[in-house]
Amino acid sequence: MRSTGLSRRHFLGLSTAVAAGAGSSLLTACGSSTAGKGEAASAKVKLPSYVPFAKVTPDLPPNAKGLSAGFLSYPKELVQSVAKVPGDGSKVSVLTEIWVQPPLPKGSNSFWKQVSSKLGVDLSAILGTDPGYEEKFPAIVAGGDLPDLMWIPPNQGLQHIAQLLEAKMADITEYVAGDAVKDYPNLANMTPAHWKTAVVNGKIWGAPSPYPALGQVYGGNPDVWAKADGFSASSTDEFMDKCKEVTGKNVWALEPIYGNAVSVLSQCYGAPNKWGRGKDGSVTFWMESDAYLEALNFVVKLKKAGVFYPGDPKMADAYLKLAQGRIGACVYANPAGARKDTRTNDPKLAAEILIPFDADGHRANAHMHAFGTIGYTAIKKGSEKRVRMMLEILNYLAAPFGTKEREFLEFGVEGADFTYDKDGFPQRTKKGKQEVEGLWSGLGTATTAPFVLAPSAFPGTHGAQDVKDVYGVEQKLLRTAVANATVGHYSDAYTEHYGRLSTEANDLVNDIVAGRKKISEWKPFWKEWGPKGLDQMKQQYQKSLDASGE
Amino acid sequence: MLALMAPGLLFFVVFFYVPMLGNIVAFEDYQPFIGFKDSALVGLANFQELFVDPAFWESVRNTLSFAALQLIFFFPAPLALALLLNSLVSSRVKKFVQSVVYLPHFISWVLVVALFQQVLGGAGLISNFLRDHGLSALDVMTDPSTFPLLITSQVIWKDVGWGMIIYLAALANVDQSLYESAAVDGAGRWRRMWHVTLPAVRGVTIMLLVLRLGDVLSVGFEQFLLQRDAVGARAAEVLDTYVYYHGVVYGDWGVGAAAGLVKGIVGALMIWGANKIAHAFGEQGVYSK
Repeated sequence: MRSTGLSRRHFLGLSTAVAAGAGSSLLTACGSSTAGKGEAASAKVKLPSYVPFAKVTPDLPPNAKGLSAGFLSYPKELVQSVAKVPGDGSKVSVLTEIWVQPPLPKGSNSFWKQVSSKLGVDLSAILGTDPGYEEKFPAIVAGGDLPDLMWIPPNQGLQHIAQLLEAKMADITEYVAGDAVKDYPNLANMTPAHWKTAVVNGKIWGAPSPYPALGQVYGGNPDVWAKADGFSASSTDEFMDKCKEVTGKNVWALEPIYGNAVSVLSQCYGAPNKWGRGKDGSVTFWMESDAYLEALNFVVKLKKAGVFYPGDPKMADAYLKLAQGRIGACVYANPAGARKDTRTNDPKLAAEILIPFDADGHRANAHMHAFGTIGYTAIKKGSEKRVRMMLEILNYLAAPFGTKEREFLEFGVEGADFTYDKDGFPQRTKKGKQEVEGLWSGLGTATTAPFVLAPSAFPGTHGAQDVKDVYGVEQKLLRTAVANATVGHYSDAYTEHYGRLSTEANDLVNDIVAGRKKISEWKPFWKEWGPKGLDQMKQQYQKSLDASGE
Repeated sequence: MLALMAPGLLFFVVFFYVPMLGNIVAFEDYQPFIGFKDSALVGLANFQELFVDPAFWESVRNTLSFAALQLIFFFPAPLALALLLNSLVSSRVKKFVQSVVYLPHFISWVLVVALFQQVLGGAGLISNFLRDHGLSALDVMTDPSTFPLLITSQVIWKDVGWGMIIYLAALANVDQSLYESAAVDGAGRWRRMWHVTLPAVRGVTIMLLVLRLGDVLSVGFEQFLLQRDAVGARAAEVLDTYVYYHGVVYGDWGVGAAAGLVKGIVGALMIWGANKIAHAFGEQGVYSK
């Protein structure tokens, strides 16, 4: 399991760069590319075949809808997934992002040397931090000396990605499309949904960077909600009553990040997942939908009832306040992230997840799927031999849970970097924390195997139970999961206008919920945005979707 | 002698004058990936877009009102504090107070805002106390109508001690015999302040005022960015945050740069004008003719 992939910062990294507000949830899919004529050429590409890795069997099986595989114990026998050393001894540089403390630098990091030797290259890495990647990336591009491997996140507002790809990066379509991907068995373990996020202009540009496929949820502190019979509801009235019940004596039911509150609760009203499609094929934007407006209205009522913590919508320590029992529930990037965060802040605390309920009894509630990736890692243009070597390296990095390669990448060398705990799970030593953790965070961002649930990801002694709980929650959420209709499709107007649209919309949500503006200003706001760029986004997405036959 | 100036000159050329060429962005549809050279020139289109944007004028209005409040309340505060401290006899107390009041200058805005939040916020010390006693909680951290006062008091709390130092230095230079002879001539406390102390700091005060006027459109950045969502953009957007949101967040680098340029030009005009006025009053100002 990617122990580094679920923190709040990670989630924020993905959302703030565009929306510039902590916890703002307003961003949507795949906006980075601005291909002049990209939309037309879009997704008519043959995706790589899906060949699941069969040498390690999880205790709880994954499925194609995005359910995570679950392990309850650590595999006794690790298998080898990469037969030969991938590299040819040359220098290879990678640009990626880390979500934890940086590792010791290359010169004084013995694990780094070992990674280099296992990969058969002289590996150097530019490790961006969060926030800051959206500034580091263009700076490196502008410098002209591109690294061999570049991680490209879809939603940090990077501009002109399509031109960059066409000009400087290798089109790997012929090396991985269809059965060709079988040359790289660990990459073949990625699903079509993963690959879709690496398609621009109808070509595949890199190895996907997998991430949990579940979306934002409310995670609650069970101690707070015990008073109200647990953190669940079957109607808005019940949710409201429970929130009121737990609020009082300097405890508040919900964190004051209003944008996220509306986002998660709009699922109860059946809002589209960011971009939806109407029956006639037209593209719709979720914030314009009646469902979103109803959710906003409900959040205004919650605010009037005084159940939000009286802080500002940018508060950074809501998760800590939740662990202290001052806040009842916060929005997390996904269910596994919620459980991991509460266990990290207090090993005895197991976040409960609110399953979206049917808000008015007529409409189907929905859970908003995430993409299942946080982008992809592209390869610099070069000879076929060079590009194929890079694919071998990415194949090594994508080694699945239960392989020797994965254990080495995530934990290092037994004895020096990690030891096995009493349940048989690797735990990093002090040296491992200094040398392995940071580098793994960066390499795992570039690419890794599809996300799995493993007990070691949850601090404390209830790991196996956490895996079962989160797996169960994922099953429930997937029953009503809806996908973002535009994954793998691109709109120039999106890149140009979305940053502004997102900030203005988030400001308006905050103003309305806080009572500074009236809810009647919501509809006119969107009417005004139509000709300012939103209509164009919708048309471009629709054209692209129509062209690909979706 | 000129050679000795070279490092300083170089510093200004490299870090101030060369970057000024970057203002070309204000006349381009600039994209960082394409660069200065290849971005399309769009003439004054960025300025047109800027001047029809109501959010821009809102940010100008906010900036001016914060600046006016700061000028009225914050600008004289360090002088008042300096006079107060200067009148203390015990130098130990003086030193101690001086250290205490200028320390907040070194605290970052993040911490200052957090501190205010902890004390005055909706879940802060005072609100919790009020709530425990059945009273209604404070709302000063999230009330847009009192936001300008909150901002000004934060600035005073943070920087009054720092601003005081320069006045204390000026006061230390006053010839003590002037006070003695004034006292001998029968001048009381107030007359001594009026005729000896204040004239002694007049030059410094006017210079600081001119500089402040030149900087009048810079009322702060982090302070507003941090508290923007709590009170809403309408109350907290200032020119600098406008530039940040348009340039960096929205990717409208051209419009952001145009707003920055407008700000710079207004600042330069203010310096020039204020200096003229200073000369008219027979003061030296920031530079002389």
